[in-house]
Amino acid sequence: MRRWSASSVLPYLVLVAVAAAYLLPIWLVVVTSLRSPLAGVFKDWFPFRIEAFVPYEFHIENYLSLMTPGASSRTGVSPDYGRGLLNSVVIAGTTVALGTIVNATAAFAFSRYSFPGRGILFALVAASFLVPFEAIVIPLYTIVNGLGLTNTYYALILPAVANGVSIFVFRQFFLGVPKDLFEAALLDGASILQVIWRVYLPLTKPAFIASGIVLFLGQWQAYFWPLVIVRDHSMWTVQLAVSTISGMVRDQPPDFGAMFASAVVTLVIPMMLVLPLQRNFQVAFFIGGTHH
Amino acid sequence: MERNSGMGVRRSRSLMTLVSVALLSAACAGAPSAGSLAGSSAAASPSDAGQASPTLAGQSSDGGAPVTVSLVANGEPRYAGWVKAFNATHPGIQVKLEDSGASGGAANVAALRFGQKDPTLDITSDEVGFDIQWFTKGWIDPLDSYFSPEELTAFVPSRLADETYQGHFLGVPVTNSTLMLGLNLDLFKEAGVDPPPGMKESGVEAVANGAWTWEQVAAAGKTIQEKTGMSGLQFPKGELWVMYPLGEQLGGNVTSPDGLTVKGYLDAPAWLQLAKWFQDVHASGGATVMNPDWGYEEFTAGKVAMVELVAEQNAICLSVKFSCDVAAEPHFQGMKPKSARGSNALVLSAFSQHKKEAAEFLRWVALDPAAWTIFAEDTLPSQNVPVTKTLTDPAYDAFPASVKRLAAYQQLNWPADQPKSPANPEIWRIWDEVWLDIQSGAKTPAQGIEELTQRADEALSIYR
Amino acid sequence: MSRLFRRGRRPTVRYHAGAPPLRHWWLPYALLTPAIVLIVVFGVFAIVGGFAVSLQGERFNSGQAETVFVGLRNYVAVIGSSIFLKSVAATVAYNLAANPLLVGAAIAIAIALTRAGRMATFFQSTLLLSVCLSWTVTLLIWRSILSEGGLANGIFAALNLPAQPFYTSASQALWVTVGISAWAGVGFWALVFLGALKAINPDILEAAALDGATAVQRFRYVVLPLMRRTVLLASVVLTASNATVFVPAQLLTLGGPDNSTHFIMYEASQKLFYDGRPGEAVALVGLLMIVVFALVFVQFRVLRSDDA
Repeated sequence: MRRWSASSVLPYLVLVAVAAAYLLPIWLVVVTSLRSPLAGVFKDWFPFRIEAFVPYEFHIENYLSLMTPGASSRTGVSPDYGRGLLNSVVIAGTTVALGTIVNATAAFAFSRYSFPGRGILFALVAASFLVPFEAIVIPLYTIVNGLGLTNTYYALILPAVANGVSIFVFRQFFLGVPKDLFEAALLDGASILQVIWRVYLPLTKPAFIASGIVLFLGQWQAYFWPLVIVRDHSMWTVQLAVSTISGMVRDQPPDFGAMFASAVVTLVIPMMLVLPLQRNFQVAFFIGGTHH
Repeated sequence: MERNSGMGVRRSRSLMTLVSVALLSAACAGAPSAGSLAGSSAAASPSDAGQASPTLAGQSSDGGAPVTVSLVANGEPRYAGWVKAFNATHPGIQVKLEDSGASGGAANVAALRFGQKDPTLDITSDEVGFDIQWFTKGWIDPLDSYFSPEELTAFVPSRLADETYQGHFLGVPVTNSTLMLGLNLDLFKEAGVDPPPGMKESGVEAVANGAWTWEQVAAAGKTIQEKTGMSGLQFPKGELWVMYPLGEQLGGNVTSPDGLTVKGYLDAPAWLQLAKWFQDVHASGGATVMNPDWGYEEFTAGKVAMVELVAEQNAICLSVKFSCDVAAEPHFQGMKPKSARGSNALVLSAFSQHKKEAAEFLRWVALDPAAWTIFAEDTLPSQNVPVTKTLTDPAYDAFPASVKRLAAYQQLNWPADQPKSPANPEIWRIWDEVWLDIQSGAKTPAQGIEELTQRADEALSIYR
Repeated sequence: MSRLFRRGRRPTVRYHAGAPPLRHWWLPYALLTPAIVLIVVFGVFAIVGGFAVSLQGERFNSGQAETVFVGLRNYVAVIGSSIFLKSVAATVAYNLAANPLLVGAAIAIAIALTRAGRMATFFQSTLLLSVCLSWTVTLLIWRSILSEGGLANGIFAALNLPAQPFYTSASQALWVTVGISAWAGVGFWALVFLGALKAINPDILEAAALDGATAVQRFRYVVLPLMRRTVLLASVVLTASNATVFVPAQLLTLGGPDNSTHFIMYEASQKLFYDGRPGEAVALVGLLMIVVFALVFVQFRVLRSDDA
């Protein structure tokens, strides 16, 4: 048996604290989303009773009000929440698929080749993610409108595919793969594609996951761009549907029950996609020691 | 739908888990993005069936095809109701509602599209007073040429005044921000305080004449807070424009009559007096800023005795368990009450390709009794006939429908002025930030008023 | 770029600086084409367009407005405004607090994860869960918990502790926003650092330990240098994202109290979305970008390795 010492217990203390910092608030959201909207979803919060964390009632009205077009929210708007969810999954999923390929190949070129123009091209990539969306939304609208893409899925997907952060993430991880490994494989007669598939992908899985998360969440959270570029209800994304019930709305009091229910739904879907990936962090290994 | 991609993740044993999920999603995406625009929009809104596909191409008005007019508006039900009823009776024109969800959204989206001179935007709703900035920038056409002076008298005078700037009629008013006072009678009883007369027991005249002063409200709020431990009074946080009519009661003006000067107006004694009162009433325990940011959740949960209520919330008493009532908007001692303030309006884009057809819709919303009925089902209309009818129609005798009668009475009798400045959006935004600090005590009243005046003055400089 | 298109000469492409030239000189360009085309169309053109917007404004002549080239008027206006220095102060304070906190906490959690044995799987799942949080959900949670009558004060009251104003207090609001951002972001970066830590050869650490290096020394002189690419990645991306923070201010504090969270980007976003003053909004972001570019340049220099 291992001896209990400060250095062996400390990591667990840190991790338990971190896990609690995430799990308790998220659990609280789930419990609160099931509270009666009439009695007030915050009723055990202040004055505080420990029941605030106990799901002693299961009012699904909050969820029903999301899912029933026409009934949702006190504004009487009828955002098709289900349709919004599907649209967002499709848009974010497509962006991840295209973006992973496009960004990984670009990052591969940046990290493995020395060629004229590399510096300036990388500067373009860096500029594209340093400059915030808000600074370019007006000209971007002009461009997308000029291309005739307004109110299309292309307008929602294409501007988000090439992502500077994603390229940067890939590049930093690719740089960590030893050059000798790459060249040795090539000398053994492997093609470039084989090298990428057999050497790079296994070594840089965390980069694919991190980049996928960046791309997915960027689209999942997008609010203002869909708002300006979409004209039809049928193309609404989930955040547009959410906005009709959220506290961001002026002139309307927030329906907190529906807001918490909506928070649960918008959390659960990315979780379903992301949680199966967690084991990939376990297998990261390295032949290391050669790249410095 | 999600099932495919979800299963894909769980089953996958490949190294490229994420990519394969994504590819699956891409496969799903193919179908909707390729050819479903027309189909899905028809499915989403049956009333639009048969309408031309919602592309950007301008529809030709010849050949008998109906002209499509776009309407950007917030999610309130009356817009969809108007579009449906109008389209059914006007075969030559199809209004297409582009719902912008959250109510700030319509004005934001419209401003961006105006800036691009977007010809596919025809009508939009604004936020209160934004139309003056838009008109100054040349983004919207005044509606004078589409309405005769007689027709304009259809509107309640204060609503018409809201929408009149430099002699031009800018937009058709479509909201109502008349303020009232929501009451939790149980908390009053518990604290042994007699409430002001409310619509539950009294007629509209009695309620209006028995309206409390703010001094009474503050004293009652303090007593209730001490005796019950619950909040005595809440002002909606983040919506502190309700201070505008309060300051006007004290003789304050936001800007000079031409809307271009705030120095000497915003820093006048009336506003400082209001700021002091507002900070005091929160600091002394007469009012609280509680969870959440809007007061109504706390109010509907029974934790607040009095809440500032806008006319849109006229049915709030239907959704509470306690004994709920609505009283008239309070006023300061010795001052004339002012409670109706401003409205959002439907405005006509200067870049519209279908101004004639768009104006046809605006005229219908403004003047057709069928449109008034849809308006009245949703909230309190802006036209004389339906508003006056609310005062006498037996349908509004019973509580809580009678709350609309109180709103109608106040709208007709206690009008407040709406600031008339091209910098209305800027001033309103700074206003919300600074009055929040005054409310919470983060700034002294004098500091707050000084910063507000200074920043509003800077915002106005480009218009001068 | 001019070298690239010089007549009659192909660019010399190598695997890396010292290697012999490659025959397939076009390969890296082919690999880059899709990304660069998209970035140019939707990024570079838009940035150039944004710059143009910042040089435009309305001129009002007797009620008639025309949009004209106004030179640096927007830049002068935003720098001269009374809120400018306050927003600079808020932004600087936020970044000085948030970036080191995030990187430090992320590395600490990543190290803890490498020593958590079998439980690591569970804790990693928790962190992955955290990356699913959107700003909307994050702020819904913390606004409800930290408000005046919220859960935190409910618990404090139950424990007889004094109530705290949190984001309604000028002295606490900035730290509340920093804490919320760290909470929302640290999970992602901990996982990224975990990936980098796992890539370090355990033999090196063992050798260092045998040489008598303490845990702190091993971290300082072995682990940290080996992770400098990831540190660069994190610090550059965090610089860009935290310098342009505004959502917590927009949804939680309205830039207050007393302008303590009136970040530059908050003012810019309000000017853009609400005030109807895009020229000034973009000018403000442009000024911010000059600083961000400079910071990123310095970071590349400082954390530069042979090939990073």
